Amino acid sequence: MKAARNNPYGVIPPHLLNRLIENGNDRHRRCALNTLTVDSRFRARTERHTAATDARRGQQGQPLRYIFDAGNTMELPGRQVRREGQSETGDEAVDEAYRDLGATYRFFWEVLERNAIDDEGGALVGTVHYGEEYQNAFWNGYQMVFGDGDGEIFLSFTRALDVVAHELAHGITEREAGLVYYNQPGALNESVSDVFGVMVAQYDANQTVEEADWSIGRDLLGPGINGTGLRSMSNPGTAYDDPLLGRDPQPGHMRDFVETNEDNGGVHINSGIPNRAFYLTAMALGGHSWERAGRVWYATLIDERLANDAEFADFARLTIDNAERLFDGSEVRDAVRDGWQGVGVDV
Amino acid sequence: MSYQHSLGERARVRLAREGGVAYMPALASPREIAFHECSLSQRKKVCKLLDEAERLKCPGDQAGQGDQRYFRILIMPVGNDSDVITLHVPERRAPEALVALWKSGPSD
Repeated sequence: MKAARNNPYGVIPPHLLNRLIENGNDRHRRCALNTLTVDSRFRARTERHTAATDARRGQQGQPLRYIFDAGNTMELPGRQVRREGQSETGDEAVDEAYRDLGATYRFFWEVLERNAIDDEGGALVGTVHYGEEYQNAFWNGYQMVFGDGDGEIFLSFTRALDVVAHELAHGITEREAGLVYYNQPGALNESVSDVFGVMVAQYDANQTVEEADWSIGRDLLGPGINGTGLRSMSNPGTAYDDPLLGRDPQPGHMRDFVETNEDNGGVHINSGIPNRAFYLTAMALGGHSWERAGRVWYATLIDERLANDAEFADFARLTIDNAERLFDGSEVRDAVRDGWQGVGVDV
Repeated sequence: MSYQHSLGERARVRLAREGGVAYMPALASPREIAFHECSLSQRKKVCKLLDEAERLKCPGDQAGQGDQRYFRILIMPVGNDSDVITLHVPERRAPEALVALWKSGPSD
């Protein structure tokens, strides 16, 4: 790697270069890719942001939130518009992201005694108004990012607390089990995010398993779309059937497992199977999902025995083991085992 | 390897945008480009983009991580399913020309 003549800062380390390629605008990307150098001002800003958020820690039981506005560009993180303790801005997406990250933090702290994504009180960083009519939300390894949707198929992604929590949970999975994002471990990675996403929404609304609708992204679909959400955990494959979206392809049983090279080997497709296993377990136990089923799933996610290439059966066996470890008697263990058997996973 | 020198008239390229918080079949909008239907100039442009995609690609199990979108490119040098080359290009790295190719097909 050679320093550019006009770059007073010299050689850029690879991790920073990758960050610029991924987060910069077209010019920065071109620059980073073609000459392996970058604009010094942008570099300074990125380093400032990284150092600042990486170094800060919230107090135990208190989230540390930073919301940025990408201004409908694809530059990250964007302009900081609200940080912890500041009052509402009046921008719906900003205030929804702030509130939803707070609700997600509260769930993990109050129910599972987990202090933010890194369990060390690290900052929760979210960017809203990403791209133009951008129809997605994601976790990029550093922060959460939310598009506005196009208003026709998808509404703003900050509307759905379960989706915000889903993205934050990706950060936790990345730090704990590190489940490989392909085939069955990838589908488990996705399912874990749905499980925590749905529990955060249920906890926020204080819903029992019978009261909950077990839908992911109920508030996201536009009014003209024939669907109830992005996924159904109770009946995978029934969330939508619409000319603009196609038909929900999720199976809810191993006999319908989808072999595909698309979607990282079907990570958002086959996640329907472990999703339904969690649903069946929670319904069998009754009450609030987070009290028993949720604790078993979380204990499994942070279990050192969970390999990053775990398949459904590996994960299932660990959930049964953790159920026995966490709860006296056989009720929880049997409910977990029956949940997996109900979706055809051999345990 | 340069695709500008290795892909002939029989080649086909399939391009789809995948990933995202949900897999929705209709939104992938796969596009297939048959080289024998393209002008020489169009072919050159597509090959140049494929060369760039080679530099921007990442492993398949990293492309969509955390619900990030990516472009999945299948290159079929002899026009059928033998010796298919697959490239995954994260959306955040994708050049505008690749997005335009996916949206509108080859241009002169």
